[in-house]
Amino acid sequence: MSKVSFKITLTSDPRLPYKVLHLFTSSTFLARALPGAFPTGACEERLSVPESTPFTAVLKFAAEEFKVPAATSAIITNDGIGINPAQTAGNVFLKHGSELRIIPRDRVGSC
Amino acid sequence: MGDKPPGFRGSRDWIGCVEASLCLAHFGGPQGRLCHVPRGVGLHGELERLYSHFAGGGGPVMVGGDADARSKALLGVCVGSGTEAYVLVLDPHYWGTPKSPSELQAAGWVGWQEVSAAFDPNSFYNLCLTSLSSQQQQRTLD
Repeated sequence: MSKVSFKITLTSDPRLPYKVLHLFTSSTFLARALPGAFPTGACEERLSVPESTPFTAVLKFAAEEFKVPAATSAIITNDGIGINPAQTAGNVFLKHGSELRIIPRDRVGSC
Repeated sequence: MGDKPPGFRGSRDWIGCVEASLCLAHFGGPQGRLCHVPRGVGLHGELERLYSHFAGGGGPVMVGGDADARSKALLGVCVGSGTEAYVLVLDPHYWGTPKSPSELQAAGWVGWQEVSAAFDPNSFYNLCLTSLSSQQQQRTLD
């Protein structure tokens, strides 16, 4: 069974250079060659999920592993594109690749 | 769009730069790239990026935080010879038709602020850097 992975980096904690979460998505449809071995980070976890898994579940899992609230977290690409979690993990991988970041959601409004 | 639960519409719950960037993408507006500034780091580390953004024709930069949730948008950046740096800050709460730009400046709706004063070190910030795609830029020229 072919596997691909998301590498999700926590960027909101300046005390750590990075924390990395690897999520493996099982699907022959999504198979791609991944270069080299994964670099080791301060924290690594692995989870196998079907490609049809809602990306909300990926976000929830990543947030739990990094001990941040899922409801006030968002996942973006390394070049800053926001990812709407209302799609499948497979879609996210095809559109945005595997290198992602988890950030806290901000608030705008008080004057 | 599906990013929020059904009860969100009509509520008084918060939104911020993340939601704004998703809306821009969903409704085909300018591109909005997100940049996270961790708590305590401050904006000095992003000044070069902001300078390149504006020098390259980038649009307003929406700013949102947590401890600092005051709405603001950045329209420019000025970097001095030492550690001095200033950002041109717009308060988006203004409504109506101003008589003149100087009226807006005099009332404090837009103005240059020293970076350390404009941003709270106790807050993280998300910046949403807006820019037109090459396709959108071509349409404005046609």
